[in-house]
Amino acid sequence: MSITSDLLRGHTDTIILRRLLHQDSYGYEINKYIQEKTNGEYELKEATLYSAFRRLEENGWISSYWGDETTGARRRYYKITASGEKAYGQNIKDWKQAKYLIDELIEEGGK
Amino acid sequence: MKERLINHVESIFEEAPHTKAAQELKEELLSNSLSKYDDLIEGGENPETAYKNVISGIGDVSGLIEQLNRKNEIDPQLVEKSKLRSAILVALAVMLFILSVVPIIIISEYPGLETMGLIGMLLMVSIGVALLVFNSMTKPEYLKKEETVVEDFKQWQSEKSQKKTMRAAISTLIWLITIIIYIVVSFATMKWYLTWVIFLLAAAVEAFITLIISIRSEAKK
Repeated sequence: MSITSDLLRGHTDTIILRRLLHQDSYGYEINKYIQEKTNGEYELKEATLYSAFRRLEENGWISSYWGDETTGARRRYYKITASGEKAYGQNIKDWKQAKYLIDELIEEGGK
Repeated sequence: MKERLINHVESIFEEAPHTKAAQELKEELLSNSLSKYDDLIEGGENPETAYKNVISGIGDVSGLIEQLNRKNEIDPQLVEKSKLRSAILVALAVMLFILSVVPIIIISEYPGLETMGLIGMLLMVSIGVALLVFNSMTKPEYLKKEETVVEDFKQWQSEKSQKKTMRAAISTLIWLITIIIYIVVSFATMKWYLTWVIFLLAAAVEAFITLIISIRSEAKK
């Protein structure tokens, strides 16, 4: 599981971008989505999530705005930008390439 | 239990700088933690377990807080530079004020030209005042890199005092110009019984300018 976590953590940015591609979202909702998608096997730490948000924002790949919740604390929503969509596409391409190479390198009984 | 959760989040941010970015991060963490807690309770979790679950899910935020601290530094070079520029302008103005008596002293050697000496003096004084006005208007608003609550207050204060010095400088300038005009016009026309009206006009002009300034700052709000 620890190798899986490490591998997944390396793709935090792409995971977030993918979720935001679908709809604007906020921290907890994204984390819940990750949990649901992985059948509760994987969940990001809040700290990891916020570091990723700041990083993505600095890159100009996402932007943020505050929701107008009337009860309780305000929610900070994130939105993907045009360059974020481009970055997502590139990440997917990179990942497919890496996946292919790793499979070639480590799988026994391959071609 | 929610109280406890809020307190925990507050305690995490005790070491954080009092910046807007830190405040926003805290708010974000708080709203997400509360949402998660509510969700867990709704899912039938008991409060104690839900609380522990949320806390452990936060992870290590020390890196994030350190990042906030780093961003908060002000570039000292920039502060030094603007301080130096301001000092030079003020020194130049003071020098002009002191030297302004020189024309009078020199001209006194040549009888009949006293007015020229006076005009020279007033000219130098008004250039000095103009320098002070320029300095107070172009002084960078309290140099800041990151908005903090304290910084906001300081900036508000510096804006206020800046406005005051600007108003005082403008007023001085108006009266100096008025005196120059009065003397020049009076000597030129020799109608001393009439020219004093200029001072009434100047008072009206000053009142008018004060009004415009206050209307503008009112509109800005």
